[in-house]
Amino acid sequence: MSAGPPTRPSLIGRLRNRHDRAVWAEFVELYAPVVFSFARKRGLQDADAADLTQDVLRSVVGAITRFEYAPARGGFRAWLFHITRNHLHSFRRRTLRAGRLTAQIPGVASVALEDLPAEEELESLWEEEWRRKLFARACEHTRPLVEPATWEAFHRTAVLGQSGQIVAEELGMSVAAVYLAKSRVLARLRQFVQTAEED
Amino acid sequence: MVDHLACPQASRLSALLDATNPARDLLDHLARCRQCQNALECIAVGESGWLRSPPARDTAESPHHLMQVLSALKQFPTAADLLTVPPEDLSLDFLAPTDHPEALGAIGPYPVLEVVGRGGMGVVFRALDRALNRIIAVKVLAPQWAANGTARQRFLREARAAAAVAHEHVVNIHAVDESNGLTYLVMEYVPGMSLQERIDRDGPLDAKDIARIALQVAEGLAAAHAQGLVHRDVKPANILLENGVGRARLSDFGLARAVDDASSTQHGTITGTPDYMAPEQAAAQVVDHRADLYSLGSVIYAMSTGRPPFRAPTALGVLHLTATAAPLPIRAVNPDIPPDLEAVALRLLAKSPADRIPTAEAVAAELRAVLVRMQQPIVSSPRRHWRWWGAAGVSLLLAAIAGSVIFTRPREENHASVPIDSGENVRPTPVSQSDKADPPESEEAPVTSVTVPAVVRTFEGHRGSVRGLAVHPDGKRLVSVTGWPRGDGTIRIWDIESGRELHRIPVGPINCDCVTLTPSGDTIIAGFTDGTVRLYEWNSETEMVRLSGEFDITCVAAAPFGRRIAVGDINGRVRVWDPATGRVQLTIFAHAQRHCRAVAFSPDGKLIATAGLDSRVRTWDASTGQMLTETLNGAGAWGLAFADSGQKLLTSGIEVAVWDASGRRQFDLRDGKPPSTRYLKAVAVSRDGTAVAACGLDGLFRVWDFRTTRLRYRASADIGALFAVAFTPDGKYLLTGGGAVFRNGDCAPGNRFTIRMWAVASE
Repeated sequence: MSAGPPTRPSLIGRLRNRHDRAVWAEFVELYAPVVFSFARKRGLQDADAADLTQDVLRSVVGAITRFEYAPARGGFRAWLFHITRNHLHSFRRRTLRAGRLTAQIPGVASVALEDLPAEEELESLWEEEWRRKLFARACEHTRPLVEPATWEAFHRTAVLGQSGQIVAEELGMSVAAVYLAKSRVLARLRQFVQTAEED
Repeated sequence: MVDHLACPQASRLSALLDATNPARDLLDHLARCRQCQNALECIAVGESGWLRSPPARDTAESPHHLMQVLSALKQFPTAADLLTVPPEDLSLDFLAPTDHPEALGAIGPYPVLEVVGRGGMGVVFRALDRALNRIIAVKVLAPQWAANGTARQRFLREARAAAAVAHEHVVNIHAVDESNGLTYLVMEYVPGMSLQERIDRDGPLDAKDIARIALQVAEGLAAAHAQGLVHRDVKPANILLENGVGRARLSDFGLARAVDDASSTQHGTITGTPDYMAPEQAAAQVVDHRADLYSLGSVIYAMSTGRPPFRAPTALGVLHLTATAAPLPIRAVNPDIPPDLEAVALRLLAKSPADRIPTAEAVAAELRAVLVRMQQPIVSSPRRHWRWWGAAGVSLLLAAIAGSVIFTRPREENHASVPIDSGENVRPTPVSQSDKADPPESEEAPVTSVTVPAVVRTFEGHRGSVRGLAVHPDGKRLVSVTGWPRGDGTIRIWDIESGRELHRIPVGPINCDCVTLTPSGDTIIAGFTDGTVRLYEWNSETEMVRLSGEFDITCVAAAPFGRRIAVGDINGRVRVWDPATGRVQLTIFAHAQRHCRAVAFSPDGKLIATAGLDSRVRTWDASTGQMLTETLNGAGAWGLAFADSGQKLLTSGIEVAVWDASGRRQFDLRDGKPPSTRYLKAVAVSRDGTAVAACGLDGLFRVWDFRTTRLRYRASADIGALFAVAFTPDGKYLLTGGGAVFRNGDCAPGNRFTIRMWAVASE
């Protein structure tokens, strides 16, 4: 189970076949949430972020067969980031021209569209968003595959940050079993995450 | 108490992940041993170390909207279906029916196969020309423009003019037509990517590619200008690079601007970028062909640096800068660009059209000359080269005659006076004799006034070039790593007292080019060429935690307080990482895609200094990543060290230079050798700040008294190039590591990789 070679060929490689239904669904599930949330957090409203997500995905799909992207250059994610950033910039430019200077996130302070963070910060925000979504997806995928108690031990220690001792007492497990559960779930998550990260 | 000696091996731990009935003793141990709990998690997550502290879930975000977005996207059964939908609010209703089975519809006589993009004025389709049985591109003027009489007229006029230009570096227009109220262009279909996509993908291009592409664009422009046509929107997105041959093709003559001009009063619609626009265009003045030349200058700039000359948060800001500011010199961003190429770009970027190179033809001629010079580099002063050979011959001869007198005596004296010699008969040999340099490098006269320090210990065992050394603050243990040009796949821990190897950490067949310690000295931080930084304890071979990245790690430094670790890579990036949380707190793009060679924290932890292959030494605010100082250091710096409580920064390259806090060069530490390109790869300052040591490719190490700048020692370690130096905490001894003799640029066989410890205390 640990460290096995990725069994799934690269998703991005398979996306070159633009007529494959399963690949498209998988691609949307994995990447659209990243783009959407990233755009929302830059101050776009839901509808605008949704449009932007669709535009970004269209650019990706359109370009993916027209040229070879170079995985060594930071891979697909870096390329997707470039495309998303470009779309964000042009959205901002359009919006500014149209005179809508700011956008509101409900419940959150208003974000001025002009205030896009510096490139490097933007990229690290992007990376964080990607990881957030990837982790959520890996959890969705993995949770049904393990015993509920195992999952609970993992969730409490790894996500909620509770100590192994306390979790063991509350779940009626041995301390070793809690740590073992945590590591075993981590190993499964990693398996899921690894293939996606290689793109 | 946990008995760490009982810690299971990594393989036993990793078997736990799969075992159905794990051994009782192992579980008991795991329950109590934090180190093994950590180790097990590290094994479980492998290179995805961030899984151990994943980003928190979003609480502010409404999952409802995200679900809507996903279900909207999934209404397209496949990726291809998404492409059939035109961008934004443009629908494909305008397409006429067709009998072609794979077509979305037809425009005029042409069945269209897919949407390949959108330009400033509409949609571009890949389509079929059935009469000539060829693939073509059809560009349709968006309905909102077609409805605007002025825009349509202008579009037609410009397109017809452009159709008259037939040139191998221009995308040829076959026809301009109107049908069913649609206005469209029929063009050559050019498979490939745009220059914009290439720059987005690859960053700055090679100087040769830049000159070649710029030349082709200039030739295309010359052909258009000869027809009286001004492009007015030359930018990387309008330059297509044809697949395979890489030929540059200029597209969209006059079109985008034709629409823009007609529509400038309309709301929120201009899609063109001002990034490449000439100042006179920005000021809405009358433009001629020289505006295109300015834009070509901007394109050269973007190919050279990865970005347009001016950047601002808003289009208006860019226009303002275009009119008023001078761009950052190209070679300040990318020193690889030859000066003559930069000069062409600069002359094209002149604010006043009259100051630019007057015609596209003249630009093409200049670029051709640049290309020729690139292909036949001028050999720099070959005569001087020969003179040095001559000098070398003479000094070698002198050395041979005087050798026994000048060299052997100090050596014997030194050995005789050192009671703690390891017993091995290592002969520390003075400079000229042992220097296995290529002939032009061994030109220096023998230095008789500098004594050779005594070897007090040797550490034998490595089978690869020692690239990094670090001494535990207790002065008893030493860690060494091996890497380029030849790593041996191990990190080794040595006992300083006995010279014995205590422990070995196998790391696999990758190079480890840097090592340092956390401030307490308890944790070893090693950077690898597979992009990982791994943390180890002195007595265990299990890595505690790892940072992964896509680029080879070139240097690591630990903050003097707290947990931060600065990591430099070959992409010029420096990341500040907290291994406890796994978070990268800060990413500094310190040397724009060039190797970051060295990184150091100031003693107060507030500054980070970096040296890069771009010949720049920079300092940064360690918490914000803001650049504080920048200096150009000729041939560059490989080593960095703070001295004088952080008031001074030392760099080693051709020489050891000493800089003050504001980035001014104060003085150099010299050793009497003429400047050579056998760079000093490492520099170290003793803990008390009184001694500075440096070593380099010439296989020599030097020790200076920092206060008087006097050279205390200079000697050869006799193992070829040296890459690492470290003082013991008491400053009395210096450790040197390296090992690689280069022949014709290759690492020659028969190298030795001995680490030596020298007595270097001041007399």
